[in-house]
Amino acid sequence: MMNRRSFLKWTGAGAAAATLGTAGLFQLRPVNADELESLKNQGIDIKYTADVMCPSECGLEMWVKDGRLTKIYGNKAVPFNDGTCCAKGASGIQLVYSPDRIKYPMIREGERGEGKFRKATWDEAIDYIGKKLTKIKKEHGAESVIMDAGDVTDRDQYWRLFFAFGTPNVFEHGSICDTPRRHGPKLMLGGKRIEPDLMRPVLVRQPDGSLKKDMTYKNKLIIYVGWNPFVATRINYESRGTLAAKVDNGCKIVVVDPSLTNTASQADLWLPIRPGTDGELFAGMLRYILENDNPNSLDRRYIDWGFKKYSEGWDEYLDAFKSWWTKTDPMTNLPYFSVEWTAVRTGISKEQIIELSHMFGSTKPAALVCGMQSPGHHYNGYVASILMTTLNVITGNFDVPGGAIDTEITKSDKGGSATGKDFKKKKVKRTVNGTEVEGEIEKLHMDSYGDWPVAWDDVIGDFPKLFKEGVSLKYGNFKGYKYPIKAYIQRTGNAVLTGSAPYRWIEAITAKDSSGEYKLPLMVTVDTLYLESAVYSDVILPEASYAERMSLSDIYPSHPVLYLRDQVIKPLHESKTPTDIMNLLAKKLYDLGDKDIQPNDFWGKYKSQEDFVNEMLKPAPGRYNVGQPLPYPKLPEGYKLIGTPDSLESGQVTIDNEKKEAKGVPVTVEWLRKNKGVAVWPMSWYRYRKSDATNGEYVANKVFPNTKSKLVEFKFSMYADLDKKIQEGLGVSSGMKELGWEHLPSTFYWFETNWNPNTNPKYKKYANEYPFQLIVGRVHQAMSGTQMIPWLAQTPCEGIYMPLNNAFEHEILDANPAKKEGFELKVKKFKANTWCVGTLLMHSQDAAKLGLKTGDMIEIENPLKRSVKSKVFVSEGIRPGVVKMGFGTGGRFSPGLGGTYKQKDYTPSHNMLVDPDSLSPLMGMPTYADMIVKIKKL
Amino acid sequence: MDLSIQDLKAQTNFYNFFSTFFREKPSDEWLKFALELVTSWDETSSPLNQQLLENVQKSGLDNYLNSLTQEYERLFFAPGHVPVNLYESVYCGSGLLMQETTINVRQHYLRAGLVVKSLYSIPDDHVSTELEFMQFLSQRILELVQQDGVEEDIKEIMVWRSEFISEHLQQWIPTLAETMRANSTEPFFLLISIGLESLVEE
Ligand code: SF4
Repeated sequence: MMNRRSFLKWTGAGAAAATLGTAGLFQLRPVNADELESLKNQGIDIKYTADVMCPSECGLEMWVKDGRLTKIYGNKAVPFNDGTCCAKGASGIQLVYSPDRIKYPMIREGERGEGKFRKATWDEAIDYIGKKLTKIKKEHGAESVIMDAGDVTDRDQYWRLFFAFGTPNVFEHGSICDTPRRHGPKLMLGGKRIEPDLMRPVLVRQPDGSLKKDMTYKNKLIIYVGWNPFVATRINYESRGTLAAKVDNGCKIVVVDPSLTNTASQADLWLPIRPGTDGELFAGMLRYILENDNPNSLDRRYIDWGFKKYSEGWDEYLDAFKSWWTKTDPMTNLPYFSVEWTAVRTGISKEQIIELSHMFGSTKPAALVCGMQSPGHHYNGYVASILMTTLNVITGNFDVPGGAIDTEITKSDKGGSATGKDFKKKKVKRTVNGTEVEGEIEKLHMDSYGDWPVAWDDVIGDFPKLFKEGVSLKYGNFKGYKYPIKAYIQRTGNAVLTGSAPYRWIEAITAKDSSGEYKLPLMVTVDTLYLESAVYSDVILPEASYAERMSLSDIYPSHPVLYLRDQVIKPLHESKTPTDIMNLLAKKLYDLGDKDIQPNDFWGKYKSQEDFVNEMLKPAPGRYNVGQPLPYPKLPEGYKLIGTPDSLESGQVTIDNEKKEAKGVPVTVEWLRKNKGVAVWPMSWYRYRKSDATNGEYVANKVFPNTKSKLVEFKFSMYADLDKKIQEGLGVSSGMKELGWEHLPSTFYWFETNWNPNTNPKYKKYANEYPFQLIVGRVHQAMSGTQMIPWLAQTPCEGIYMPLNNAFEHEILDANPAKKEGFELKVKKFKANTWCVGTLLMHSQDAAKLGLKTGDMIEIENPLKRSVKSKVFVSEGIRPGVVKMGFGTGGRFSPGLGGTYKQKDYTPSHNMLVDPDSLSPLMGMPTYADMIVKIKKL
Repeated sequence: MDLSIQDLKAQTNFYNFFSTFFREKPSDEWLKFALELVTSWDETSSPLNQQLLENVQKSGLDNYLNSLTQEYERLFFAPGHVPVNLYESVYCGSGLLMQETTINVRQHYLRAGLVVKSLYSIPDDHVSTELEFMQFLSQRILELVQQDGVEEDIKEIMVWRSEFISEHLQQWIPTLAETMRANSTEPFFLLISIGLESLVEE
């Protein structure tokens, strides 16, 4: 070994080194005097922004010093989270400054999935993508390209670019979230998310005309079904609001869930229902309420018949619902929807069903709320969500103080023309069976005009099939037209792991043709973290983290509230903002001759992120001056409101009587910055009615809700319109065929869920061999990729993410007082049971039968002969016969996941057990919670 | 410290060499010269040199250079988690980038009238930037020692230099070199790691 100390004396070697050094300054430059002064004396800069650590997107206050994010707090001016910031939100600094972020553009070197990449320049990467896209468009049409913006957040730049490019196949994560759950509110209210009226404070117009922040909770009963706001956060105010309503107003909380979630542990009553029978419970409740309602009894005045004034189609709905009462269910030999039937199906006692129905009918205000884990993840979730909507409406709880609010139709509008949706209206020509046909780009949509005519939220679960087989259009102008899928551009999502069975995705993405080329020639990932989908990509582009880009919050408040996701710090490493990425790629496509991309739609128009966000803000709030108390008594009732809260308040508006609009000064980034980042417009309730002075009563105002008739629709006009398209197409969709439907129903319907041997005769034969129903739940701190933050990975959750690791070695920071900052990075040995890993939760009775105790290794196998390994966590906190895993907690095979990656071989990926062919029949959503398994000790 | 012009030149060149090496993936041409250089650091018959020679012979020079660039990508630029991180904060800061260590490094640069070009984007404490800073200081001293009446200036820069070495380079470069050795079996990178380490030894 050479003598190291003498090294520098080797001047001969030094001279040789001279030829290999590049003289001059590369990373450093001289600083001028003024700059030096300002760099040396920096104060704290406070920025108001919005979180993205979880989909709740809380309003935050971030502190910046020396160009560096130093503190994260909640923003008190944002009523959505009212100044709160959870531990995960505060740990955002660890994600932003993680050394494991994607730092530069990368181009694949090895095979897809090998994880071999080389660092590339932006020029190279954009050139690579641009050329491939141009070629694909030329050969197969722009529709062969899928843009999946993954996260809903900050996606509009990508959507805009790809709409302009000419593909209607532009998606986001929503389609693998909970589409069946949104179905009822969408059909009946034109909405999506029914939530309890729990957001406080709310800004309310007082009788004296002033506006006041109101903190009072009016709720008396909330029934959460398969919804766990304390863990699966999306609607921030629900966790603190639930407790506040309980304490302040004596509100009763009932949680219906097979497992004792954190929310259930706060409830007055926990009903451990059998999975997949929420629809049964609601049908039983509705029948009980209809049969026992008595307008003349104080105690049994369940139904508020006033709803009929604000709705249409009730009689038809009722007939359809009642038509089942006389039928006998082959599984139970009991009449449908009877209390007895409901009890047998749900596993909840008859007495409890009666008590719950009575409690819901007689307690007002109340809210019945379904979570993403209930109807959202079952094949027949539609029926449950339609019934849930019905129950809220007929009991008079819809949009009343303390009742149930569809937040999709109360939140502020945003996006406007920036989203690029208008590009979809552009006409293109295609040759179908030898004939040239013209139609709007949107009619080339792979789902709406292909296999999923009802899926208004798109179908990601079906991608692997389409990657392999291509798209056949069945409806609209282009029916009969076929095209292949040639590019998959994914941004911040992780569909390879989350969009139904990963093995199907991997198979489709790595399939090659006879010449050895990938059948899907282009796969791109744009992200901040390196997750599993990126491992399979050809190009990875580093996206600026949420603290480094500008956009708007995407939240579900009970009235219009909108806040800025301000850019807090500069994009780190070589990452770029969505606006820059959009402009770069647009420019490249334009330079390569794409006439659909015009400078004035992109870089000529949006010179900065602020330009883009200002355009997104133009339609805000876009809601109506309706309800009691009227938000703006000085402005005409029923008119659409546009503009800043202060301009509307001061009457600085133009009234357009034709369009029925009251337009104030548009909200801008600058205005938001001056107002702590947030715009809050007043709250009102009963937004569907107005007072009719002549008759001294309330009548429907016909502007709210958001259905075609602007009434609550028990007769589904959306289905009627879709059915027209279907009937004029090439036949009913495969989902409808599965249901034996020739038409979409006009009103209430019922069908059974999949893979449930208790309710669906088709699966009865599996009951003995596969005795467990498998369900799945979110783990807040480990959702998506955030468990790469070590201390979030060390926080247990509900028996499905527990400290049950095998001993392993991992590089972490360890205390070392001898070091400058008291820490050092070192490979540390973690003892067994000190780090959280994905586990399977099982009831102690079941565990006893199988001879299992907490920590035992097990194998979980489904009837499709797919299996995963896991450790078991035994507790009383789950219904016997049901087992539960977490989403994305185990089997994580990307090295971007830190310590979690090391546990991949013995932790379960729930999606390995999902039936990839069981997509819910109307919306194509993977049925994550419809599965049965057998379990053996290893 | 009494420094000969020759020593100073050698130091400047070495800082420059390592700074260049860590800045971006080297070209084949560069690597060819670098191979000669690194083998000259050790006895011809040393096990590392022998191994390196064997590797070159086994795969042929072109393939060998190619495998070196691939190893370079794997060690320093792999997505997700790089086996060898090139930022000081990862080794002796809070484990995150852009923390106190980075700000402290920035102060050293500012004192010498320099600032990183991609301020606030690329953390200031990348090994290549820190070595570029050392190269700059050595170069300045080299220029000054050839002038008269600038002893005070020289002294001042010498202080900056030795403080930066002791407060920063010596705090982490040995661990960085160790990490390289723990993560690669390729003699070229091992020789680089040894050279780098010796550069900051007292
Ligand atoms: S709830 Fe979600 S959005 Fe809110 S602070 Fe926590 S992680 Fe951030």
